[in-house]
Amino acid sequence: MNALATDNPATAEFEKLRGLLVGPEQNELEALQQRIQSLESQLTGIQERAAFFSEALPECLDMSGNPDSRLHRSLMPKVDQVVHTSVRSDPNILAEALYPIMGPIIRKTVHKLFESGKRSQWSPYNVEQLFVIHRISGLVISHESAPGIAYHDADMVSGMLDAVRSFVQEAFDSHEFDGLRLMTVGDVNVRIEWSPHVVLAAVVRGVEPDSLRPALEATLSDIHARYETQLDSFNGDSGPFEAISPMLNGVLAKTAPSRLSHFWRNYRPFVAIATTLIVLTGIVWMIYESSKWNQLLDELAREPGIVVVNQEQGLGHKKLQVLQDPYARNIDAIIERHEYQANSIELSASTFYSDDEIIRLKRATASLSPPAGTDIYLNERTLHVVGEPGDAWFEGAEKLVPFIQGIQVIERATDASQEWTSLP
Amino acid sequence: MIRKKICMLGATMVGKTSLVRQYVDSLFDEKYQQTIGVKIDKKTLFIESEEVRLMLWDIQGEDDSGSTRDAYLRGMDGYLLVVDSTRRETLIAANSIHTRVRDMMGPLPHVLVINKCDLSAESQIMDSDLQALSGDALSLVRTSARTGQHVESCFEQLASALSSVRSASA
Repeated sequence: MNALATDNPATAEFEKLRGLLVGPEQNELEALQQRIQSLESQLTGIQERAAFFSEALPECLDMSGNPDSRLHRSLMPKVDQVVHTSVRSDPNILAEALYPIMGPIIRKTVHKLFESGKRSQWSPYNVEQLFVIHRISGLVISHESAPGIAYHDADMVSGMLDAVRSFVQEAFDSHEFDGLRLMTVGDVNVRIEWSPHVVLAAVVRGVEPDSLRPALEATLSDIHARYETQLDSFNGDSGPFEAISPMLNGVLAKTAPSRLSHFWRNYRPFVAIATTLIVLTGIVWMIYESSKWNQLLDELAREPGIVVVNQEQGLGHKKLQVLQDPYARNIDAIIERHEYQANSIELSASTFYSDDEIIRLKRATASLSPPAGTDIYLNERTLHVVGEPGDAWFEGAEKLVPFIQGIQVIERATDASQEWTSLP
Repeated sequence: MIRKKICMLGATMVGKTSLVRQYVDSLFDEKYQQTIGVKIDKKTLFIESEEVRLMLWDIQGEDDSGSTRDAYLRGMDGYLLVVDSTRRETLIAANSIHTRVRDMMGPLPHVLVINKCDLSAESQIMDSDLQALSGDALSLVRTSARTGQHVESCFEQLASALSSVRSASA
């Protein structure tokens, strides 16, 4: 075609002239056609649409920063539904997702249950063994175990205790009486009390009772008072110290755990698991209850003619204080739709005149009772009457309108506008 | 029943742990495992029908420049000073340890033990070398932790001496 055009000088000139006259418009037209094709493909192609929305969606979410926004309200039921479906299909997914939060909470709760700060007569412990050790040589002078405790070689234990004490003193250059007083390995504590000649060490499994230390100090002081001379010349012979055994048994009896703490020690793992399960169940229940309560509050916030002025949510106790227009929907029905028993919420409602359009229209309709075939619409503060209500009714309505809350004027209209509010 | 604290002293790798193991468990292991800090063992024996319980503190060996952990020695009743017959430098280390312990704790019953005597061909220590060190020792015993030769004897000589010290003081 172009070849022909260039062959014929007249046609070529005409083309040149046309290019000069309408060339820019033609280029613009072609650009617009390309733009329309691109937009069409964005609207019809799934991938293009997905790409478009993936760019726009984060912006939408950022713009609707207010948690009370319509987008948030629209998304919330969907998110709830997705979470619910996910939990029903595989609870492990949510459990694993929540673990970084729940794990520390549970550990903290269980730890608090067993921590030393919560010492009481119910705390789990057992004073298993008592050693009286010669302070200088580290040789055992006397040793007693609580009933049912497996026998440990007292000489070896006291030797190792002395070795540890020596190591600490040597390595950290501490003075003798600033030396080892407490050694903790797992749930075993070794409490060590000192006197100039002897060391009294108590092996305690679990949380050390408050009564132990005074008992050890008193016993140590008693031993020292009774055996000072013999201890001064101790040569490895434990014969002269046989009467120390009953003293140690006295300490073991005095610090023996109560029957309840014995139970506690034996069943502690089960109690811990049960506690964990109860805590977990409680947390899940609280999350569920809180979500349900928030959904109810959200619906009440959206409901025309109802304003929540105060709310309280506690364990087994819920309270709602609302303002309610006489023409608002029945609040009890809304509450029951959210799976609450009507009497499970302490509801206190006060009457007020709502300024919501639909409520004002309901109020006007009820006050004016329009005859059949007549429809009333509201636009801001003006009532529009469509139909043939008759002059007498209209004149009566004009007299009543100034007394209807939220309505100023009543007018006749031939057709209803789409912008006006009508009753559903 | 009496208890006595006995320490095993000497340079590293002279066989202190092996001597204790041979004495307490009648076992010997060719593999060398260095003692870190201290290892405590116990052996009960009867001397003149009296029960004597020896608490054996096998203390980490020391090299030429090192020092015995003094805190471990506190309250010790006696000690075995061990020398490796195949390494002359362990005799010098033993001499140094002995002098320091005596200065720190006064004279204490002890036995001079020349270990690894099963390796007599490799011996680097002459009898004349031992005269000074064995002067105030209860006895000089040549042992082999590997074969068990005279191991029991060196401990029992010390235990007897400690028992008699106790009898004398009682």
